[in-house]
Amino acid sequence: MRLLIVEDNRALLKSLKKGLEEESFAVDTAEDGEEGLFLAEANDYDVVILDLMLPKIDGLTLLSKVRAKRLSAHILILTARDAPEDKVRGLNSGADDYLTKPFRFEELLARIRALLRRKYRAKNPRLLVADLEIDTTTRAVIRGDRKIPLRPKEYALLEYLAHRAGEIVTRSEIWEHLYDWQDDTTSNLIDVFISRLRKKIDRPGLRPLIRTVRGSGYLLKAE
Amino acid sequence: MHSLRLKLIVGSLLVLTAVILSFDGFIFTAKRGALLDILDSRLFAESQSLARRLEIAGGRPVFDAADDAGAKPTITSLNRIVDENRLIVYQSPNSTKIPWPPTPKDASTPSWKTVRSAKGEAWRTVTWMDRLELDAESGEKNATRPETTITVAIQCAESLAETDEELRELASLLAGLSLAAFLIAGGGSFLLAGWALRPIRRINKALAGVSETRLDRRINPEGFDTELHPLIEQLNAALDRLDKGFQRERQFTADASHELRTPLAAILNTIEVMLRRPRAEHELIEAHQDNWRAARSMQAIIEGLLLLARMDAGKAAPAKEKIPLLALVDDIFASVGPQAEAGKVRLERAIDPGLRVLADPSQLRLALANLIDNAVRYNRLNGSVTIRARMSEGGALIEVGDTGIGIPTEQLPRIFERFYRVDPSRAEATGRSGLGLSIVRKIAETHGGRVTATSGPEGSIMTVFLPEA
Repeated sequence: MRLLIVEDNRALLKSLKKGLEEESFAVDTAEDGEEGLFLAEANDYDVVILDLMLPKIDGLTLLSKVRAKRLSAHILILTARDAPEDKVRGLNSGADDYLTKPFRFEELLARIRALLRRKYRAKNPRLLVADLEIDTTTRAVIRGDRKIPLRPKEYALLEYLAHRAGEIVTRSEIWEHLYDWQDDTTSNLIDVFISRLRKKIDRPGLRPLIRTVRGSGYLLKAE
Repeated sequence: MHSLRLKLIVGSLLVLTAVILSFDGFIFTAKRGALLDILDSRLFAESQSLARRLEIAGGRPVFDAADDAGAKPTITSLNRIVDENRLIVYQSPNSTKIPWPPTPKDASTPSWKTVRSAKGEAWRTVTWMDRLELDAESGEKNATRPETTITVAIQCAESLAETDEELRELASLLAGLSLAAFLIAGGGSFLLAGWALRPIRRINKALAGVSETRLDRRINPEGFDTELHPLIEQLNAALDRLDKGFQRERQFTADASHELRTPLAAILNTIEVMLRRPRAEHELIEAHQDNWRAARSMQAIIEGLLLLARMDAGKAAPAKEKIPLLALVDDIFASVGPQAEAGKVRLERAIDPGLRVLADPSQLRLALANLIDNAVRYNRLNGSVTIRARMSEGGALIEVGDTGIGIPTEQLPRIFERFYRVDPSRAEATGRSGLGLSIVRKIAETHGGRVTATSGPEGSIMTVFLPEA
């Protein structure tokens, strides 16, 4: 899942990026409203974490511009402004959630996951595809009764495929949602990760779940 | 009596009462005078008819009582005639029941008096002297009586009962009318006072809707009488000032909490992320360095806020003394030297070595250090910082100039506000508190001076003025 953080405090930005990347998110960052708006318009982010008091373009203006362009990203406002009227204004301007500083990283994480469930229309934090079970909270993956250890990028790919189970997911969509702009998009990274996932999930003797749709992309499906 | 309405009512009723009472008095007196005039002339006419019935017989006045029964004008009147020797020539029946006024020796003009009988009844009397000619041919003139005339006093009296009755009726009529007028006027002034005070109630109602959270409300002077417009304008101006004050206060609190919460959030988040899993040493060192920087920026903000709060509360009164400026500036130059060298910024000064400035040493040092620090930070590579100072207009002018990119003209008036930043992203990067210039202004103000800023493409100049006295 790909996130954008727009935050002008570098120390906070740095620790947020580190913490979220360790949770298998692809994270882009912007230090002012202008850069934030540019990135939000250029990429299909799953969740944008937005500060309100920003240089150049303030958070609320950015928010209304993003909403006017009908971008589908879920937006979480993360700000020091804790007055009820600020929260009301933020949510009424099109934000999906509002969290005030200082905050608990755990809570931010839980809220991001809740927004992702909303975006992919999943009520249950456990994703089930046939006998494959993905716990999005603990990032534990179980097939049958075997726990499958996955690397962060492998997990991110599997979770994204599981969220869209039954649909064909294109390679460019995988790029959009799993990699930040620093990753090298010209490489065959996706093929590498798909084959690694296959080895771990679809072990010999089990029904294969990850399928390749020639010329289109990939599909995670029970049948 | 602190009710305006009550004062208005009582005041108008007092005036009204005075008017009614003097009107009543005038009417009563006039009516009484008119009635007495009629009575008096009737009495006089009656006494004249009495006089016509006087004759002289044997040198003495004699009253012809022959046609007394027929000619007597009124039965309510009492009459008597007294001669020079106070002997009664004639008196009508019952005429002794009133104390007759004394008869004068020789007065020809009639005089009217009111007397009271033993029973307390009021009677109007007239008294005048009639002169009877003695007939010489009749031989009434003799040796013993050399005079040619005899003088007699003629007195008539009539009861005032009827007049008094008429006046009593008038009095009760006037009293009734006055009471009615008083009540009507009282009710009228009650309503009028209420009507006159209605704008005050309206202003009051309008003000009641203005609370701390709705200070943007104003009273519209339209629909109010012109006399109230200055009051409403004053009220609105006072509301404006209050509103701005509250807004500044709210903005300041919001800014202060934002400025403090953001680095605090960074510290907490860094620690929380670090604690989520085992960490390598270099990660821990980096986290500590990040946290140290964030904590330092919080420290700068907290110290700035505390200093401003102390000065706002008037607890940091400057202990002024004469400070040699050159030595102070060189001292500050020494402490910012490394930073200036890093940015290749030249530090220059043009200060008379003998120049001494009257100021609190630590406050002046802080103010100049803030200005010089800013000038070094927001300078260009190979730029310069120049300090100039001179005495003028009864005080010292100290200028701190830089060769930076300058400050946009529209932002100049705001740069001394607390937490105001010309370029927020740059301030964040350099870890400034956002309070430096507002502290400079506060220090200048507590010294009775001021700080101003000018800016152009070649850089900015901050000028501090400190008065000599």
